[in-house]
Amino acid sequence: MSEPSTIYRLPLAAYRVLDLGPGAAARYAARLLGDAGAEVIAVERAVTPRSDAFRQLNRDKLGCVLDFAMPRGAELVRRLAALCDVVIEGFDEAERERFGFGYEALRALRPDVIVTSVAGASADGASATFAGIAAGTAAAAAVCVALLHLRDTGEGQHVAVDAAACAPAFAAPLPSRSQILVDSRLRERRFFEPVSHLEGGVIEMPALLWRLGMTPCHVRLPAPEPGQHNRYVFASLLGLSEEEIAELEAKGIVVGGWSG
Amino acid sequence: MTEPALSELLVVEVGRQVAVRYCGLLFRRLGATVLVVEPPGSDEPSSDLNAGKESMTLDLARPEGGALLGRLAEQADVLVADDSLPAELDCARLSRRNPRLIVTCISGAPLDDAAQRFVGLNAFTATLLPLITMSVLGRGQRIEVDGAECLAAAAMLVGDGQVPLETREPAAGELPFTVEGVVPPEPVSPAGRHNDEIYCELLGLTGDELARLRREAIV
Repeated sequence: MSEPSTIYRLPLAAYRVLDLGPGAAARYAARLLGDAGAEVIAVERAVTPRSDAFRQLNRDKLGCVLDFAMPRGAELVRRLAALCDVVIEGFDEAERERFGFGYEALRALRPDVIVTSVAGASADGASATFAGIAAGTAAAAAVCVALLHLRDTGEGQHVAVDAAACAPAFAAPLPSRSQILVDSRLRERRFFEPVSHLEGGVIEMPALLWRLGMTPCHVRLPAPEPGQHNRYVFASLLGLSEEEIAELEAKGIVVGGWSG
Repeated sequence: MTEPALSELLVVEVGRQVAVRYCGLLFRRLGATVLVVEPPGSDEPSSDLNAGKESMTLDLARPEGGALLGRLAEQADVLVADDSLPAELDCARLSRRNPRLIVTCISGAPLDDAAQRFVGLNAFTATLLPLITMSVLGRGQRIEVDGAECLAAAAMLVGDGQVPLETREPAAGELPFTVEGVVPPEPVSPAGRHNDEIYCELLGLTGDELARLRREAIV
């Protein structure tokens, strides 16, 4: 049997997750999976302001900006989905159809994909609600159940969370931020962790929520700057050439990557 | 019909907090066998959250009770507990006897039932993570989920001044997500209903030994 020191590998390190947003519930679900070690690629349809909530919701992710309202952008998202074990999306029915991101469409490209739909959540950029956080947590739970099913059977599936239906079961009074900031028990437990951002400096945010005894529990990545990982996504994963990427940028389908 | 994803798991549940019970209920609805450890001689009616779980009684405050829980943990995949788990049954000791065991400890649980369910949902999700890699790692670990931290982390994202949602008590066994392969809603068993099966068949005690444990109010 291997020694504990040899298994410092995060639990979901073998999985890639495509996070299409929009909305805090889908983003939070993907964040939890990123915290647990999955490679999460967050797609922004357009550059989103880097608010405090954005940075918390999108840490432990890679990021690209891709306008999937345009047919060529949507096609690239579908090609990306075929390279991912899990897709998380928070679209309404009409958007999902319009973009071509429904379960059947994605399954045709990757038969064992796990598609996670989180309905009834708020739009990107808007502040998170507790309903969104509860729905995001439920969605992360559903993904983990689906990953176990995938491991045992090789089958993917469509899992779903309805924020409006599920969240009231968890609707609890929350402490105020000012209470939390001075809570000595939380400080002693190292509830906050400083995370250094490329732009925006060091921001203290809640550390990993679940403490696993045999894996390190730190934030691995700050939230991406706009398009920070465009090159990885479009060149390394999708195999597009420099010329093709330049053309997509010229058409505004890919929004230029952050370059320090 | 799809086989529930967690059908192969044996989960032992210790603690009367809603967070622990809700976590255990999610395991049960996804197919796990869940053994609930309840204190002997309690008149309290069994909770709705125990639907479908197998109920046993055991006094964990007595040394022999602790030892029996240790034997049960040798056969389990997961132990979910709150701070009522006796300190001498620490994870290191349980893991020596069963290296594959995942021990999920829920600390700092809040008072409110809805908040407790939120903490239980977090604990359930956290417990699935090492299960996903179990076939690679071959060993369990200790997981800690703290109630105050779960709520504080949500509050730091949500911010002050939002109108709180109105809490709705979920129907018994209602799941917050839809996945393939779910156990249909089941009835609640009275406390100790499965003592004979668990002590005699699973742990291999004789009828006489179980009778003595009952006389001494350990079971």
